Amino acid sequence: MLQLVVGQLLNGVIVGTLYAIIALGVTLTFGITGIVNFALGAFMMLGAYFTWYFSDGLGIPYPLAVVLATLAIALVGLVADQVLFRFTRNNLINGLIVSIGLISVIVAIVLMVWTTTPQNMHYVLPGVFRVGGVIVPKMKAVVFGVLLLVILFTYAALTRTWAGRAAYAYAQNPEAAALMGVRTKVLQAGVAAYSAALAGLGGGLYASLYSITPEIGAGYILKGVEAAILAGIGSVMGSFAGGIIIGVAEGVGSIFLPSAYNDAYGLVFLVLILLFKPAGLFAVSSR
Amino acid sequence: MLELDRIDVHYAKNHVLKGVSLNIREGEVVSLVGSNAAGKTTTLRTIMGLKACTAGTIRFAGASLEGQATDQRVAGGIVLVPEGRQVFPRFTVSENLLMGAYHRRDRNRLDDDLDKAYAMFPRLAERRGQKAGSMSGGEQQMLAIARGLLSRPRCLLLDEPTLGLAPRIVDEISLTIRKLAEQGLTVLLAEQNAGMALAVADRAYVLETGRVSLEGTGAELAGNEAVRRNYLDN
Ligand SMILES: Nc1ncnc2c1ncn2[C@@H]1O[C@H](COP(=O)(O)OP(=O)(O)OP(=O)(O)O)[C@@H](O)[C@H]1O
Ligand SMILES: [Mg+2]
Repeated sequence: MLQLVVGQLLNGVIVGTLYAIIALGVTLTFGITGIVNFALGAFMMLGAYFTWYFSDGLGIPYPLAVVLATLAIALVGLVADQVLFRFTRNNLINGLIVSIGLISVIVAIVLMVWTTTPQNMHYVLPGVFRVGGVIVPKMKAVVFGVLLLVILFTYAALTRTWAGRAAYAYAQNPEAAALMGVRTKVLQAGVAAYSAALAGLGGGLYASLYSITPEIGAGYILKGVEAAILAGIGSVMGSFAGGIIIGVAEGVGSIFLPSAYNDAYGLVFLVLILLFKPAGLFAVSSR
Repeated sequence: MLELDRIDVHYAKNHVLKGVSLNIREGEVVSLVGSNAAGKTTTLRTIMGLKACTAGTIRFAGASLEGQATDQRVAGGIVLVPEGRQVFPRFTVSENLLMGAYHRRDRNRLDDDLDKAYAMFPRLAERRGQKAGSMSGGEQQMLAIARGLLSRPRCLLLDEPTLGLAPRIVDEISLTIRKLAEQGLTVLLAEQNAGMALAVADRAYVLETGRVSLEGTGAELAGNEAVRRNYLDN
């Protein structure tokens, strides 16, 4: 029993970092463009397909395939931002409508090209680690490590580079940031592309672990948004913690409760936390 | 150095500035005095390119600013310390000051500039690690001005720096403006507090519902009958 719980805990942590990388994109996009970009889930799904196609279709080595897919999704995100989301700045409702439209388009195209048949990538990194009685597949450990590094990198970039500081300043007071000479349009486009890249990377890593279908984006964006809200929008490390909390709540919840309702556990948890901390667990107070 | 020539500005159909012309010469402190809703903030925002004018031209150091985005105007040396201070609340004092230097090429070598700012505003030096959002209004105003100076302005625009502050702090800010002027900085000061604004200014304009109604030296306007009646006596 203990082994099962620990195993599910670890699984939850790994799925949770995937939620976290989406949550980070959600939080960054919201902070800078004022909308929740639900299409980040579709970008993640597209990243998974691209990686699978680059790797198993074109024979590109997996790590390079992930990098290429991430860059491709950054470009998709940039184009979507300039063609569509640019017109929805700070308008949640319009952002939502455009997101939903974009999701349908992306899903329809993927269905057309790759059908509904789940795709499974070759085993990138077979083998497991045994720690005590617990078994951790090596690839899962790698995915966790890479995502953790990217999240830490993002945090460092936001606090220690000029571009990052400009983004953080803009999130606090857009007009004051403009008065410091921040090129606000470039910043918005850059953050939109970076958030898409995060989702694409999440998808690329996902592809090495699980089956790819056109629907995977929906679940991940839902959890990503939950994690971002749970953490308190605007907190980078909070997104990470939020993702892991939801992943673990699901993983452990499914042992004791029917796993058919898996998606609900994180949500219940979210509601409970918001009841006690309405601004989120790691909300950055402005005072 | 900064010239506004018959500027018109609209908010939708609301005609807010009606042919405003100002001329600020290099090294001058010029005040723009006017009551609520006269259009002072709109004038400064238009100079910064935050708001577009519907007619007229703005020239800075001889060149038209037309088509220049805000960041280009900042890079050119026009810096606005906005109404309501607008410090970055979650940044510390020193992080706020650093943001002021964001557009500068030499932004990675700011030790001297920071020392100068702290020397000018000792209260900020004591609080350099404090989050700006937790400071008092007066301290935030000092910080906003110091941050503006870190942008290395050639012409500094100040929008109601004394609003809501105690008389002692108002005096401190007047003193600061005079000090900056002595160092050769060009200043355009928008104020409702006409007493203070006319006292520090070399010249001043009175703005009334979007039109310049009077102009003259600070002393002339302070002695003007209409100005005394409308802006100075309470
Ligand atoms: N964003 C805006 N949208 C619509 N109207 C605006 C906007 N900003 C200002 N106005 C209008 O323009 C006019 C001038 O406003 P402005 O803020 O320039 O006045 P002000 O002289 O700075 O006043 P105060 O001393 O109260 O700051 C006012 O009638 C105001 O209602
Ligand atoms: Mg004003």
